[in-house]
Amino acid sequence: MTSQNIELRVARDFTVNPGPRKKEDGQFSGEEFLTLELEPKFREAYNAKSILTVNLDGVSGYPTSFLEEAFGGLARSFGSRVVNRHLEIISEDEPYLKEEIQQYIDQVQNP
Amino acid sequence: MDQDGFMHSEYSASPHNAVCLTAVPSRAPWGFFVCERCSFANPIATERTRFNSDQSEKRTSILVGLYCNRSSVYSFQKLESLSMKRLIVLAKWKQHLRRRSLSQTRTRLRFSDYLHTKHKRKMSEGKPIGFKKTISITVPSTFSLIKNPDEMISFLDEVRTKRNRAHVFVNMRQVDVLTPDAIAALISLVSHTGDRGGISGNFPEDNDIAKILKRSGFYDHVRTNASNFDQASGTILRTRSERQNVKFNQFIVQELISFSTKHFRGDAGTHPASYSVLAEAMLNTVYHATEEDHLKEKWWASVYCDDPRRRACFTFIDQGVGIFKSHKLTARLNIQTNLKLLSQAELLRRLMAGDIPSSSKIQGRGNGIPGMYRHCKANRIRELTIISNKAMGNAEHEKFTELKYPFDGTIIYWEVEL
Repeated sequence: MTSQNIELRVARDFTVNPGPRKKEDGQFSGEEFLTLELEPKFREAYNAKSILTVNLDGVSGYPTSFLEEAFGGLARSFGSRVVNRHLEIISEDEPYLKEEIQQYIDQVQNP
Repeated sequence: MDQDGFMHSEYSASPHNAVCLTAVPSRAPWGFFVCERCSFANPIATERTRFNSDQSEKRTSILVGLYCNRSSVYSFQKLESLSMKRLIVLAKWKQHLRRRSLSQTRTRLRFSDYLHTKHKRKMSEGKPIGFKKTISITVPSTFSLIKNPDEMISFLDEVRTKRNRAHVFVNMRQVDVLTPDAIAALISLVSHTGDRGGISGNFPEDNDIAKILKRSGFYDHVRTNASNFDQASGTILRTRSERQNVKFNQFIVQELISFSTKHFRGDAGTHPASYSVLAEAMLNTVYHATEEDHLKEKWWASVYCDDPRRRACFTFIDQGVGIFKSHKLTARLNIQTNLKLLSQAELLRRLMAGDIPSSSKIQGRGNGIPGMYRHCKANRIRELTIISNKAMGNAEHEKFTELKYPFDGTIIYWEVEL
């Protein structure tokens, strides 16, 4: 990886109260997070051959369907191998979330 | 039959049939239907049958139109090759016919109910107004769904059945064990009294037990003449989705958690595991409910702060059909269940462990209940208990039992050490 890492803080850039899986089910959904924040920034990191650091700290909590839709959705778009290469998760408040997200990414077949 | 010798029979998918029909020009070369009230824009079909002069032959054509909501231009396509049979076997039409039939049945029932009420009113003229029979039901002495599920479900069913015939008086004098999950169940029952009978009740004789009831938030939802309660230890909330026009609202989740953290720690903090469990419980009701169910008050969520044990007790009650009536099992599991080789308790165990895939069969789905189980196994939450249909399972103690009576809905209960 060559250039500087790109950072995405969920609490600062999106919301402190993550919501449901799909946009039609309520506010601050995983789908919204994926399309508005995660995917554009990941694409930027991918094109710049750098790493996107997603900081999960500072929020009320994460519904599993939110995480699956966001990170599983990212892996469905780019493939799990690419996502693993360009994505770093930081979760000091809830360290188990890193493992959980990794599972959602790995479940996706590489395109 | 019109002047051109066409006989029209119209089909419209709009909920306002009467209005749609008036919008049909009888002499138009093709038919279209636009609901003036809702501007319904779905495909519309008109069947036209032409009779020859001797009335012996007929020719049928189908016209399908789409209504443009923003201008007066309508685009239509004449589909000679499509037969009416072809159109009405489409899933959309079947759905429309099903809904229409349901709506007509409801209207008929409403009308017959109205006639019945009118007749009763006429017959009871001169009798005292408001006279209603009262039935007293004594609650189980262990008033707890997680400790005494069979007796409690039987009690809830009895109240649900009898309240349709009379006013029900819930006698709680002899209660010696009371847990917050049962209070949430009782409040969900009281709120659905229907229009035929009300529910009232008394306090438990035991002062400590009565105090739990008074401080649980129960009296925020019922009328009472008692006053001057102590500081509240609990709160009970129900879905606001109907009011706010969204299916899921995470701010209710945070409100419950903040209540408990404020009670124990003095500031409105967070508890990520509870946030995740409560959110998933609510989302399950969204994902597994039909469109019609969204309009109902479907769930109740409560938190009770147990001061002596320093634990926040969360209860989520979904008044749907229950996990096993909404979950479409795989063919193999279905056969095993039908042959009674697999109990609902065992199914619940497998569901919690993540061994049963989501009924939606979509990749990445079905993580909700296994996620709750993982939180419990990692001690982030305690005593996770799920009751649904005929199954009850405690994840912490890995205790899964088959119930005597089914519970129509789902109860999720857990505790948090704060």
